[in-house]
Amino acid sequence: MRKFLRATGLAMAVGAGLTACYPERASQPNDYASVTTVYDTLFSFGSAVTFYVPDSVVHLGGTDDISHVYDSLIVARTAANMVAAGYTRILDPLLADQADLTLNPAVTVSENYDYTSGDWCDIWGWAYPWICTGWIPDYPGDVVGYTYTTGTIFIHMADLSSGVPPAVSRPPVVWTAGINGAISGSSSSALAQSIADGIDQAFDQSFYIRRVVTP
Amino acid sequence: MTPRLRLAMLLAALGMAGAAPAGAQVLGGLTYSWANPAGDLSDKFIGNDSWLGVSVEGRRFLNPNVTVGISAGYTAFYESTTEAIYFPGGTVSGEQYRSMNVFPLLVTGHLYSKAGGRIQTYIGLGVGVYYMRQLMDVGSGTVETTNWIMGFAPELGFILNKGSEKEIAIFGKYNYPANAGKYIGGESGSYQYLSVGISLMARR
Repeated sequence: MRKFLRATGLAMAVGAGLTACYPERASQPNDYASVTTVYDTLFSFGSAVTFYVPDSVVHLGGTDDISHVYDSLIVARTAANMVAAGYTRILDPLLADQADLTLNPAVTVSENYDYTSGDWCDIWGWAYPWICTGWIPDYPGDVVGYTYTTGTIFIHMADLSSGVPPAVSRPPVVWTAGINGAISGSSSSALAQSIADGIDQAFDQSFYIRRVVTP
Repeated sequence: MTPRLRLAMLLAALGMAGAAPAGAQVLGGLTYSWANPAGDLSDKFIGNDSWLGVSVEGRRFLNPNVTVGISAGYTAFYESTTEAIYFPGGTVSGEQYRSMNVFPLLVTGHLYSKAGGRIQTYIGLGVGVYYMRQLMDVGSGTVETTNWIMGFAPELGFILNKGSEKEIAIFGKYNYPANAGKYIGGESGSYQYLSVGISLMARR
């Protein structure tokens, strides 16, 4: 029995040691480029018809050292995917509040950006500055429970028809995409392609967004 | 320590302290095994087989054809993939590293065919707990879950009698942790696997 216990201890120690090294794991976790999308399972995307996307991209956190040259690409690609999904774009900013869905693209400009703390004022303050004056709910904790590196693109889609915080307790964001590693050092053409591919992938894997259009 | 784990350890202790006759033989050994994922493990998380499986086992003979014992092991599944993972309310695609580390701690019982030949067949069943450690690197972060899951493992094996106290066993075992727990994405699941291995055993 003593030998058996010794062998058991040895085996468990070997097991613990093996779990510590994790074969084939990247030495730098940010080696993994990825696209994460989450959505409000209670929201009926089919009930929305129109959408609005502002012509600017919010740069979140830290010192802004990311070029704005890709902002127009991000906005255009986002809008193109929404149109392809069956929605009608509202272009006039004066009519923005009439849109069923509002999309806000954003880019992180700080290393290890903590998304879960929420940046309602940064992201939505341009259109609804009063939301920064009162209590603001956090973004849902399960949206993206980890940090993001510089150059991650976020696209937030909100149904603002019922109001915005603090008038409503439930965050009005119905869909969020986090495209990690999309904007990081490489040539401009490769970057543009990476951005376009990432945004396309976010919509491709979110099949529930597509409207069923009656012919 | 959870109530389930305490129960499993109590059962294990009772198994080793069973009413074996005086002078009963004990069979103990170390095992190396290959494993193939099944159930939710292959459907939802990792498709790669594992070449990283070890365990230690002890069995006490109640009579020449029946043993009870305990088994403690470790199996690691891992893969790098770009396959999308779907969970309630979301999807993750792109480059990911996924791993599942499984630590089964089982109380076992085995029935053996008649001794005397060069090959002795046996069937067995293990019942106990599986400690499941699930990990996924994605983007710049890591998502991890741990679960203690009750489960069982039917087994079929052969012992090659070498005419001495040392023996070799070849076996297949289906590990069936129950559909329970809370894995990445918040869903429960049954993360099963089939392991095939070889044991170097000693009889005393």
